[in-house]
Amino acid sequence: MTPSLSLAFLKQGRADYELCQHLQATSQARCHWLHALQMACEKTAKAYHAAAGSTLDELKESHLVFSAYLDKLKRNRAIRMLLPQEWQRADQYYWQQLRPIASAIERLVPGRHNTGENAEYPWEDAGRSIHIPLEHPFSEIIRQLNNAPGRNLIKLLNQSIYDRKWAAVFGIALPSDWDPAP
Amino acid sequence: MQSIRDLARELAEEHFKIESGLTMVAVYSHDGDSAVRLLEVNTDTVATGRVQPFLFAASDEYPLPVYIADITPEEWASVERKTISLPRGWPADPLQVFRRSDFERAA
Repeated sequence: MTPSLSLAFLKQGRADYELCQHLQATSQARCHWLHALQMACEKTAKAYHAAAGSTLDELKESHLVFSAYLDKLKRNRAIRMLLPQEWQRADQYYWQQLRPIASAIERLVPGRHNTGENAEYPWEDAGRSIHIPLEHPFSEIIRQLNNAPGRNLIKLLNQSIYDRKWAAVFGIALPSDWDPAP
Repeated sequence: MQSIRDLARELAEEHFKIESGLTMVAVYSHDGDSAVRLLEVNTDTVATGRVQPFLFAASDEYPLPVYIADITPEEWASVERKTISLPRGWPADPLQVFRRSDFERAA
């Protein structure tokens, strides 16, 4: 039986996230696990767009979906109930800290809107020097991910992928054999 | 059960409290609809050139499914000019439009 588009994206997003974790655990180059993290965030957000009726063609149009997904979470009462206590106030502090990190993750994708630092292709800077993702430190995004807001973002991603009740808020029924987080 | 109008107003007021960047909430649902459809104009969102909503299923916390999408003020102007399309099944025009001032109480 063919899976729903939303479940298909969530399965692939989960696989990308678990790849990210594996690459980090085996000390692979930062560009590789950052790329996998970006793919996980994008596909997870697209799973939730698909649950609202977006078609495959519409979902292919843009990579800029994860920030929009995070922005919606605090507007839903059921989601707020699933969050840790300090998040349930829905005040701006915790959520505003997520946005720059989410945007930084989205900018890891090369393309028309990003001709500079990215996790996939070599790029040329303003001084015409060529940079290779494999050798790039990605210092700023690493710093953001290692701080509390970055860790909170990863927790939200984790919950978005694995939490059955969370997925149900968006109308996605996870299968009974959906693996829990390792 | 409350009417769509009342449910939408309740949600719009809540969202204005949560999101400082919201300037307007347009409700694309009619009385008798089975879902609330909200287009939220938000100065803090990123322009994508499209209206692509998320869906929150009905729950104990809110009795109807809610479709919700953010757009920038410039994109709202495009929606009004019909140069940005609304999602399939959405009515052409909003039933209600709320602005932040609708919920601000006199000092």
